[in-house]
Amino acid sequence: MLKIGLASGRYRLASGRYRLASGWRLASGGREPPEIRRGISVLEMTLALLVLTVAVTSLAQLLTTAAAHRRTSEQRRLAVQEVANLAERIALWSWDELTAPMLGELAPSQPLLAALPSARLQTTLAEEAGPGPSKRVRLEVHWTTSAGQTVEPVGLTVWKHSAAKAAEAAP
Amino acid sequence: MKRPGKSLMEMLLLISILTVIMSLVATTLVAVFKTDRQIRQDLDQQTALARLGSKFRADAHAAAACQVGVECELTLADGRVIRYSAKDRKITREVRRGNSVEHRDAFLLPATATARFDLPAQSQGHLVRLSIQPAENSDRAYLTPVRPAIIDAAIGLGRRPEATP
Repeated sequence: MLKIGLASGRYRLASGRYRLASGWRLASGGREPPEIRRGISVLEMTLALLVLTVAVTSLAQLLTTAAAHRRTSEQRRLAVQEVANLAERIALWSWDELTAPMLGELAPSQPLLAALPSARLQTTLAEEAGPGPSKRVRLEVHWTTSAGQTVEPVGLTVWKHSAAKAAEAAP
Repeated sequence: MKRPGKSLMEMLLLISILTVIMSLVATTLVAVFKTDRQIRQDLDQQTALARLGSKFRADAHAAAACQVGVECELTLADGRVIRYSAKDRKITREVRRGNSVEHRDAFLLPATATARFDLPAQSQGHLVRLSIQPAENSDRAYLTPVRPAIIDAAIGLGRRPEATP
């Protein structure tokens, strides 16, 4: 048996097999040398690339999701802004002006339509009885995504109380 | 004769693989940092707009009179004047009583944003509008994108007996 001692650090890349080189020395009387692998095998390289590919793909998906969330967040902000502005306008109306036909004349603003072309406004009016009669107005902005998917609408509810009618109703 | 060490092909292959890996990592890192920056800027803008909208509407509701020009001046019933002005990347809210300043707030805007006040024609002077838009033909469009905003506020709403939002 020959004992192989490693005198130089030379090895073949991606094979794991030793190469006899000028720096190797041989000694007699020893056993088979323990197989010390150096370098990277093709399998290891493939696995490493696979792991890297999975990691990069996950990150790419994460970035895509983050971008989609940013878009959704901006769309909802615009919708909230729209209903808040409409609520301000409605608050200026008198008790008698606040009727379903008047609400029906409300339409989405141009800035909202520029950002959300499919946006439509839905309004509902309900009268609520009580010692101080009030009208409940529900404002909702509906829209669909570019893929045609319906998005959960953004809504705001406002109440209009009639001080005069409350005074009439009071004993 | 076999020569020790790595062959040229092996080195080239190794360098190619490393280049691809480094490119992927660099691209991903740049995208992650960009997304992080955009999300933080969006959050800053949204927070500033929410604060501004809340204050602006509350002030307009409490106002007895409103004057709009380059600035917006809201006069309260107790004599205080609240002045909103937009310049130097921010909207400033200043509460004055006579010549003394009682309070001052600042709402930061992106560098390329412009803000203006006006009274919408259809509101017959009962509504004041604050519009924040990106500057047209800005040569600094690469900076933080401006989220456009329109804030309408009813003037003197809190002083009307029949108008309670």
